Order: sequence, then structure tokens, then C-alpha cells
Amino acid sequence: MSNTQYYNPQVGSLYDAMQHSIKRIGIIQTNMQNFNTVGFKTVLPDSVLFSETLKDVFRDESQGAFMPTQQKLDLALSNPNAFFLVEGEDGPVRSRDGQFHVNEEGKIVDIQKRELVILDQDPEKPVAAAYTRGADMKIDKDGIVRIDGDVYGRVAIDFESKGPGDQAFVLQGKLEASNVDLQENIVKLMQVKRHIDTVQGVLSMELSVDKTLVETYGRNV
Amino acid sequence: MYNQYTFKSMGAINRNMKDLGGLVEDINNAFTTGYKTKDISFHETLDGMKTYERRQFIDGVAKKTNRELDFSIEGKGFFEVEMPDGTNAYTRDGSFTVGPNGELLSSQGYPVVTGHPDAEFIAQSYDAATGEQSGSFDVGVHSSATFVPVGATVVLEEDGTLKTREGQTIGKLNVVTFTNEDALKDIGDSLYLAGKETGDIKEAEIGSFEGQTRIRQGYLESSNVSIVKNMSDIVQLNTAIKAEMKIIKVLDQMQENLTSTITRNI
Repeated sequence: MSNTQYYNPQVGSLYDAMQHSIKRIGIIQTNMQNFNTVGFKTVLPDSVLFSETLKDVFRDESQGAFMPTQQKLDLALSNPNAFFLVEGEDGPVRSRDGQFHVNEEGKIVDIQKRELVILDQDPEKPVAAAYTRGADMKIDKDGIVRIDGDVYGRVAIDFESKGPGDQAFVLQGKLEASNVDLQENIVKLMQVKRHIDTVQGVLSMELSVDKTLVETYGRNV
Repeated sequence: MYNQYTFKSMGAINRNMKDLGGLVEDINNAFTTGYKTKDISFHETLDGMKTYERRQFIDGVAKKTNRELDFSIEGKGFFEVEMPDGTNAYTRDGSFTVGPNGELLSSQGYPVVTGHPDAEFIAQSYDAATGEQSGSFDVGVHSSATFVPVGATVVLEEDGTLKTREGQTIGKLNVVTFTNEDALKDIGDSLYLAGKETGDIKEAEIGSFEGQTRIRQGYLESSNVSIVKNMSDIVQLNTAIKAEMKIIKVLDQMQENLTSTITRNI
């Protein structure tokens, strides 16, 4: 809401400032509630502008810590610009979520049941079947899948914007944790809270001035 | 808006409490034979937040017990037991006993399913939504109750066959694998049920070569719970829950201040 709609522009500005701070609290809250979401990227609370919606904010794309899981189909990527390819409804789509498993149809899928794209796979020797029978499956840093020492295929990796020398390593048995820093978010929450307190104080003062003016002049009209 | 944020925080607290419940369950079962860690993960998707639960079927350490009816599985696979309702359940707990009639029983008191050439065995499955039996799979092995002769010493052969010291065959332990073991339904007591989503049930390749499942006699598989990791996760979750509580407190204070500002000036 623009402050021009208020009878008193100062009150409008204060209201806008408060709305802005409340938006920032919403972002801090989103961060905190996703601190244990696989691969979640921190939303930057300071990036929200007055006129923008929460969809327009920026994210901290830095790498989250790698959590060891020991699961052979848990994969992480070392480069924040890199993605796995999974089969979407209209062809391959990018995904950073590396938690895969073999489904009932014997396909390697992510938790949204989208199949992981494995290149150079022999249809007669599917990776999933070897994994299911408990074969020794190793995926090296280049995404090459080896079962009992033999190459069975390569995990497809795509880049958002690949520059010269850009590389991404596949890490088997690890998942990327969220990069949310709880302590930092609590500090930001306190800062926003203080800001709102200040705005509320000024708003209260402004309203009491208005009230006094109305009472004083109103009595003499 | 305040209420909306408060409910969001409550939702996050509920999720963290669920995660905490899983960690506490793991710690409670840190010394349960064959127990597998419960892993709950949260994922951001276009359809909103998704929770994915799975058991980490990673081998626990095999502990030597020297007891002739203790068996541990190394590698993929589950022992098969017959439940009182005739369905079959699966377990990694190989602490077997002999019942009053000489039958081989699991630690939960259910008959252990072994191969027998005369009776074809069909594995049954349940429907996750209704809990009713939804189908059956021919696992290609044979089964019947297994009886241990009185006073016999049981000896395990490399392929999973149980024999007496004198060479009489008692039966072959059924060890099976699933296409999707993440979908096994946990029914407590280290027992799991198969369902549609577990896919095909197959007989495990038993042997001592790499990649094959090995059964060892006189050993029991410990749980794969890491108490240290769980404790550290609990501390982290505790911090997250406190942080969410702080948000609720801040929202409450803001609402209180706003109400008092407005009412004071009316």
C-alpha cells in the first residue's frame, strides 16, 4: 500500500516501513524452518525491497555442508552451478536434490519419483538392478558408475552457466545440507524486531500528536 | 499476517519434533539386534515441502556370540518369518530359538521360513492405504515350518543351508532382497512388511564372494545407530526449535505492541 493513500504521509511511510520489516521476518522464518531441508539455500532478508513480493528476493547460493549418509544412492555436487538431470514430464529437468533410491519398477528415482538420467547405460545391464542385488556400486567424482569394477554408465550433470574451467564433482554417500545459519538468522530477527519497535514508537508518537491536534483545534472550532 | 507466520512456525516445530522422535527412537534401539536407523529428510519441491522417511539398511557390526542359533546377515537381505495371521514379515534379527515343538523361531516367537522342496511359498503383501492384503509374489523359493531334531547341533553351510552335525538337512534359510527396500513398512520389533512399493522380492545371492550376501553363524548384527551422531543432531534440532519459539515470541510481542499503539490513540 502506498503512503499517498493515507491522510498523513508520515503515518503512511511508517506503515510501509513496518510492512517491509514484517516481510523480512517472513524471510527469516522461511530460512529457520528450512535449516534441515536438503540443499536449501538461504534467502537473503536484506534483499527484499519495499515494492517487491517475497518471490523477488535473492538467495545465498553458497554450498551447504556435505552430510555423510553412507547411502550409495545419495549424491551431492561440489559446484553450486551444477545440477543432476532427472526425467520431468516434458523431458530432462535440472535438480540439485541428490537423494535417490530404486523404486518398485527398478528405476533410480528422486523423492519426487523422477528418474535420474544415467548416460551410456547398457539396457541389458541397468545400474538399478545391480544396486538391488547388493553389488559393489561406486560412483566416482566424474559421475562414472562402476559396479564390481565395470563401468555401467555416467550420471548426467548439467551446468546453469558453465564458465571456462568450471568443474563439478559428484560425491557419493553424501547429501548437501541447507546453508542456513541459525545464529545469523536469530541476530537478524532481533535487528528487525528492534526496527519494528522503533517504527511502532514513532507511529505511536505521530498518532498521539494527531490526536492532540484534533482535540485542541476541534474544541475551538 | 501475524497469525499466518505463527502457524508457519508451529508447522516447522512439528516437523522438528517428528525428526526428534525418530532420533529418540534410534537411541532407544541402539542396542537392539538388527535395528536400522530411521532417517527423515525434508525436501523443497514445487508442490511444497516433502518429507521422506527411510530406514538406513546399512550393515551393523556383527558381534560374536558363539551361540549356534544366532545368525547375522552381511550385505543385502532379510530373514523371513511367518506371522500368526499367515503373512510373512522380514527381519535382520537372526537371534533364533527352538520352540516347544522343535520348530525354529525368531526372537519375536514367529516361525522362521526356510526352503523345503515340497511346498511352494508365496509371499504376501499389504496395501499401504487400507492395510489389507493386496497381492502376492512368487519368490521362487519353497517353504514350510522348520523343525530342529531334538538334541541336534545345528551347523550352517555357506549357502544358508542348516544341517545337523550328522549331515541331516534341516532347511535352507530364506534370505530375500527387495527392489525398493526403502518402502518396507516398519511394524516394530525389527520386523518389516513388504508392499506394492517394495517391488519384486528375490532370493538373495548367498555366498562369500564380493557383492554376495553372507550369513554367519554364532554372530548377531548390532544396530547401526550412531549415538554420538544422534546426540549431535538432537542438539541441533533443539536449537532450531528454540529459534522457532523465539519467532513466535517476537510475533506475539509485535502484535501486543501494535494493539496497544492503536488502542491508546483511539
